[in-house]
Amino acid sequence: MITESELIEKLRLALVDSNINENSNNSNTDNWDSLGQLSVLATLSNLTNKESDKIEDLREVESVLEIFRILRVHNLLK
Amino acid sequence: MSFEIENISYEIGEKTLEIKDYCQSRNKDYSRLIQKTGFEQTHHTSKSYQDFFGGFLTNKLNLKSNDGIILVNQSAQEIIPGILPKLFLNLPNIESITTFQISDGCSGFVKALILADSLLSSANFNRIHIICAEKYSDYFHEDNESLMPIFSDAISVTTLRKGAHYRITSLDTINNFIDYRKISVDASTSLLSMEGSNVYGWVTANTVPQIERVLLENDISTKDVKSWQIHQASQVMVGGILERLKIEGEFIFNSSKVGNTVSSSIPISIQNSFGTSNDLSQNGYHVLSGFGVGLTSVVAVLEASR
Repeated sequence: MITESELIEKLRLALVDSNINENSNNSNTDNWDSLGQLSVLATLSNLTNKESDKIEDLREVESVLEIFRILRVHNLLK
Repeated sequence: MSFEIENISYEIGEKTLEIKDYCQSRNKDYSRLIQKTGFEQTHHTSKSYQDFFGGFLTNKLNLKSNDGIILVNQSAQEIIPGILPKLFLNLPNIESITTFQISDGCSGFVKALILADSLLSSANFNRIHIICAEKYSDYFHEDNESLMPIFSDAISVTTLRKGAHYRITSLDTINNFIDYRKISVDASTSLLSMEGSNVYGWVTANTVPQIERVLLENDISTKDVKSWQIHQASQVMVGGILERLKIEGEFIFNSSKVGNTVSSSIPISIQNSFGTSNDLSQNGYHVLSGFGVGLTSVVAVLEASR
């Protein structure tokens, strides 16, 4: 199971933005557009061994906090 | 039953859009876009259906008795009598040819292949021509930065004949019609919209397990598969599928200069794969996977032997 800090590190790589933190969302992050969303989904899939692929709520997720919440509900985040 | 592929030919729209130029003119980061979509060019036509598609068919299609035609098309606007008579109007020998039409998008070629295989098993047909023809550019404007760099207008003809080279060993379909709006044309605006991340999510969650299941049920390992003929939706989509299946294949996404041609994408990719390590003519198993509009995902396994 991944941690919040591990997830944020991976999201920084996925969105090519070293400023990503728990308050980041698709409004305050330039690269978090439709292309960035695909990178976020691919990153989550890799981190969760494809478990996140089945979670429909993640497909339209718009913030890091929302990702935290959804992954926790599915026991994929510490 | 079994069949041979006699010929594949295709044509893409006459107007080439260089994605780099398109992005630069809009102050957009082209490298990031091309890295994700994989498309360096898309191609659109300003010709009418009859001129572009009908003209191609008149030049390329040589119809004989006991031929049949399957047309895969969704984007033509004609209701009655439909697009089929207008496209085939000038084809020599069309008078006695039995025609079928499949209204489908990116999974249309695989469905047409299955239908063609069945038709060829009857005494009525010696050859089936699968024609995939889509002009999605009718449904988005040039300033649509999401769709313009992805979709190309194209027509392809894949001619199959009775023979012993290819056999369809299995088939699997997943329909998720409740989500049909994820790729659809709005009736009030006549404009196409696609919820890319939703479609990506659905495909990775469904098509990948579907392929794994079909292979498992037929006792085929991914290492036994000689070629992967995957709908060329985008590089990130094809790459995502291959990564999850743990397959390496530099030739499998080969449409960077073509674009997403919807139902023509698999036949065009097959044609452009001949001579590469992803060549469909090799003896062994081949996986064909079409997915998208519907939402629908269709997987067929072909076995090739000579």
